[in-house]
Amino acid sequence: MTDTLDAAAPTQERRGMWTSAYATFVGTWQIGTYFWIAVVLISVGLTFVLDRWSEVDSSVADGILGSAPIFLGVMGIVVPLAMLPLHLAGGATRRSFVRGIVVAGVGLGLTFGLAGALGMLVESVVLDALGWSATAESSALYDSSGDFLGIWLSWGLSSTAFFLGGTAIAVGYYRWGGVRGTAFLVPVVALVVGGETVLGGGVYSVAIDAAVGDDVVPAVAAVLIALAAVATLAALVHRALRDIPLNPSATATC
Amino acid sequence: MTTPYGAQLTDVTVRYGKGDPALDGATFAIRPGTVTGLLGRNGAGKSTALALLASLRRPTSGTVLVDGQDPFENAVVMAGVQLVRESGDVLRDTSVKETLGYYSELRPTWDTDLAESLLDQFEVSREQRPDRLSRGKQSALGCVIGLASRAPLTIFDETYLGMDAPSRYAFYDALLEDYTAHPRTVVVSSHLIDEVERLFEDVVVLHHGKTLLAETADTVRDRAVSLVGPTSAVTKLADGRRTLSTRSLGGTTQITLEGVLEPAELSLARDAGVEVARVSLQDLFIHLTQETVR
Repeated sequence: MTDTLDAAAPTQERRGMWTSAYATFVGTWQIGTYFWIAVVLISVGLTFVLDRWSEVDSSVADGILGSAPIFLGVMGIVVPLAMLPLHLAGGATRRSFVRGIVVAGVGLGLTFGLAGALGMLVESVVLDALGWSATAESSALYDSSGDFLGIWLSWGLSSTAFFLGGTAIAVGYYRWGGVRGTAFLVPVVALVVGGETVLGGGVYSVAIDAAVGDDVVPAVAAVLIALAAVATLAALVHRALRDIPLNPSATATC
Repeated sequence: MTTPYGAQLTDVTVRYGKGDPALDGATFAIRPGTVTGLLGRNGAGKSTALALLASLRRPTSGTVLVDGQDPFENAVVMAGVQLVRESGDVLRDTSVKETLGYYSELRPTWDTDLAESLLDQFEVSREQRPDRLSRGKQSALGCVIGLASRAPLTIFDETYLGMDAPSRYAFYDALLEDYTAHPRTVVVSSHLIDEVERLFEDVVVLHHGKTLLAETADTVRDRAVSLVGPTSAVTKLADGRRTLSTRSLGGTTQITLEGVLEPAELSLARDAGVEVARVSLQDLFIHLTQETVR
């Protein structure tokens, strides 16, 4: 019987969770490195262009480094779905996969948020040294590129939400097809956009600020709402993955 | 050392959408510690049955047991089942070593030394991306994963079809060698029946989602006998018996009969210059599945 296999259930669950979390985190960061190189170069280049042809009167990197959540949203669509068949074929459970993806999503959100906040801090130092303004537009948690902790928290939460949202969308379409997948997409997008908006990011925030003014949602409430959105997205990922059947091996690639 | 897993499917039906079921009340057992051949024509339900054993999906109805337990989301049982599919469950756009690293992290029974040795034997580059390997090398990678998993229930689903003949025979030898040294339950699904039948101790044949037979390989082989000789002598010996196939060339006829010959009939055949031989599993499989084609 199974007692001869050195694998008690909790041990196996932990093994599966950390394996999927590590692979997702490292795999995403391997590609993410190129993303960061690109956005840093674009930020520096755009700053030079603005200085040469116009003037630098606010943070340039805010809108460029701040695209990290969108990048993670795309990676959330691609990476977990590519790993799911391998994970199950390797003898691990969907349960451990979901936990690993959530752990990886939080880890990616925090580290991408940290990388973005560090980039903004560098920009703040440079702009200050040059006597230029480092103000940032429309956010509940920060108003200049030097607000390190506010940016880290804001972008960390958004990035986590985008990654889990991307995962939920991809798995939803894989599992339920076009119609039901699209129906599943609606609450996912609402949660991602809602969380982003209360934190003051995205195009909707600019429109809302223009209509009703800044600081409609207090910072603490914005963080709590964003946390609730992340938790709900994690629950939706679990719902879509918990008993997902793998498609038959229709494509003969080996 | 791990104890081989047995498995049992009881009255299992699986439906994809509104068409005919992929499995339609299939019932069969996999004995622990055996090499079982799972045979069937295209669309017979083989891959679906194997996907159930590996918990890739649930049945629409019926019971699936592996090592006496429902395998679905059962962490311990799933850890002891390795299904290698033809599609290859690998990380396609990173190196081979990344995929093998993932398997080795997940599997408590993974043998890294064996994996390394088989990669060398099949000349699969560790640094190459799986999607850039030739079809044969991709198949070989699947075989490496299956063997190195040392899973108590290891399943190969048409895994090695892309390999050339020398590589396939090298795989069969490696499978037998490892199976002997580390007993486990192995299920092999294949269309190359002539090549792999020497491995089989048990045989399960699926047809249109139903179990056509589930027996030991020797019992299956005893289901028919082949007679070759002068047409008149062969026809006389076949008289009154169920004939599965007949082929004639000039004055010589080859007939496949259902069942075995009694000692007296064997003696008569010998005296009449008729050669009596066992029927290959492949021939029998063709006869069995042809006669029930809808």
